[in-house]
Amino acid sequence: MTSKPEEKWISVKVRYANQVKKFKFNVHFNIRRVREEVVRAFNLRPPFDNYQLYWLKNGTQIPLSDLNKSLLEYGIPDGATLLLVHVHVVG
Amino acid sequence: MQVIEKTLKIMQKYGEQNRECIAYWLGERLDEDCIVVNEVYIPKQYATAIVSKVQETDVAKLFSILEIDEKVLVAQLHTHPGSAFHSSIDDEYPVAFEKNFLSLVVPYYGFIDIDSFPKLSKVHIYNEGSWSETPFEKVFSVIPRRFRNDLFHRTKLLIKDYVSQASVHINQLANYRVAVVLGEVLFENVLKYLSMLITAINLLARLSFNVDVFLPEIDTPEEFKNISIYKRKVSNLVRTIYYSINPFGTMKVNSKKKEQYDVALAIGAENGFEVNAKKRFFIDSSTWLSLFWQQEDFCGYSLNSEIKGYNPISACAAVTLGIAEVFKSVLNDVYGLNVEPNKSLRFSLLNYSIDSPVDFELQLPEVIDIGKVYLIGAGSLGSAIMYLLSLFSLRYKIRGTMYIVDPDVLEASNLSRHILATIADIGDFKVDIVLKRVRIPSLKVVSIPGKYQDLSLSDRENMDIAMVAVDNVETRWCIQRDLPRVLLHGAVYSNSILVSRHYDIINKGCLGCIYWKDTAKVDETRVYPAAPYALLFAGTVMVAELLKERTPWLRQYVLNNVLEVPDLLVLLKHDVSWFHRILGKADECGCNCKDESFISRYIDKWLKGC
Repeated sequence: MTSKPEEKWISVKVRYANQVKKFKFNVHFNIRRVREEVVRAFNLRPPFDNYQLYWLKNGTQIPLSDLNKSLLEYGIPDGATLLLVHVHVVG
Repeated sequence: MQVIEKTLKIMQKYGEQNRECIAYWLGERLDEDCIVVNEVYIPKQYATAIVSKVQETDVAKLFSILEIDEKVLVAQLHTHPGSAFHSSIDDEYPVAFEKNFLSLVVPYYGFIDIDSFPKLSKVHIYNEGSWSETPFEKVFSVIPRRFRNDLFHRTKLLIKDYVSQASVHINQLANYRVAVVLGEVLFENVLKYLSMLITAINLLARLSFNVDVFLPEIDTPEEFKNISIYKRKVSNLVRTIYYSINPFGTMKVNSKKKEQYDVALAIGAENGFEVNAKKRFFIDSSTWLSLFWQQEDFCGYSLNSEIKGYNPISACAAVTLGIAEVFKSVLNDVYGLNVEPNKSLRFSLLNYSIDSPVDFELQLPEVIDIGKVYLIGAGSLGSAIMYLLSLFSLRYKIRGTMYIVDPDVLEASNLSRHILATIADIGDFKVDIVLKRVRIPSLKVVSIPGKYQDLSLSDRENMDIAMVAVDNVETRWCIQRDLPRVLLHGAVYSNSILVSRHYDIINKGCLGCIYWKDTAKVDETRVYPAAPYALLFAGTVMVAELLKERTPWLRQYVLNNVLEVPDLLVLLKHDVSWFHRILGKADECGCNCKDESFISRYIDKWLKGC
């Protein structure tokens, strides 16, 4: 008999510059999947690898750089705020 | 201008090392289409002579500031060693692809004159997937340096009213530090204490460059959220209010640095905060009482038993008494004056006693119908009246129609006292500013951007209540000659306040008996710079009178005729400086109210059949 992964959904707020959107994710979603959904929702151009997610926890930014880790493994709680960023270059 | 100056200074430091520089402009949103840019943020960056880069971690730091402080990222800026242009790298790798986001390129590593910044910089705007160049003036309005002088010009004149020094430097105010403290008492009545807090900040922004606020971290209550700028944490809200009026000052919220303040104004009490201040003033309010006391007199009150119903008008009156004391401290400490401070006050808006032994506890009606009211003058006093009504409407329901008449537009110098105006409103009609800022769901507000004299005769002849808040004698006479049933009038000259109610003009003096025939030529706005807190105080009396007029069980407390406070800064005492009197008919009356025709017209209009 196999056990089904726990069906637990959390709400998170994602900020990209001045825009803020709300999402519902299953805690077992990995960061790669979360990132793809978020980038699409903000209507940003792929490739997805250009973007990185951070978790804003108590005023500090924790990089969610392991794309295979789930939200649960990162310990991201319901109501958390994530930051979507990419590099800024000028020339 | 300050932001441009600061930006260029930093850019030039990088330029001296032959490196490009990235900067971000952050601001406070005032309304849908106006943001005040008041911060330059320099990220950690890898800068060379021709390329500069901000890594994801440092962009995340920037975004967390936007999140925590609820600031707006207005623009990214960077320098070029030579001329300014938006390169393909700039197009492809901005800090954000966001609608209406701006990117500025500054030439010559920022070694340009401040005044030529708008001309020499290239501005690009991002829209629908691409960048396009736009003129600097189309997206930015630079607040000129002289605006600082305009903003504080009247404050300077106010100081000069008391200080005999030949020259008063407003810069002397810069080092005077004021703390506003809102303790845990906030949680007992969020609406009341928050109304007091934002009113105090609004007034202080016009008088002080250096205000810090200490308060518990809470969300703005629902009642305030009808107003767009209030949809944020209280700590960010107070900062926005301050900077929207005074972008030249400094405000910190819950500063962790142990600093010494010259004055602390505690709203309610300062529980939970240890603020190091030379003087401490406390304010609070009960139903009709406005309370003020100094630290050493704290024991004179048993607050828990005295603080009863919430009346937004007496709460604001308490704030004006507190701010008047702060201003007095400035005069004493900075400008060497020696005005005796008030120890404690218990001012009643019901009977205008200043040492009221008890609060009458006469409750306000949950719903009040003000009927049809004309407010003539939407300047500093008229806007104070509307500000108070809007705070009142957060707790009580106001019905009726308010016609607001004023022909003027807002000038920079008006900002020193117009409680509803921000720097974004300069050049707008004053009536429109009131209409934009005051949203009272059940009250119909009609703005009339024109002169009172241009209203139709039938409108003028059928006024039931006229609230007169104008600054010229001719219009006062004109309104009184039109014989509204009740005329409520207010005027503020420096720190001197005059409020009058003209109802029984058969037996008592009319408005022309205050403003005699020879007073018409005085330009009041130039001669008497009014203190913003005194204007709000006059507003509280006028609104209290309106409420009494329309509430049966309060009508017995209406003002008999004239209330005069010769100087709000001088120690308030019944017998010395507080005048509550009945005016006789004057021979020199500007309206000739002794004429039989004047009196018979009034009788025909309002008393026939009585």
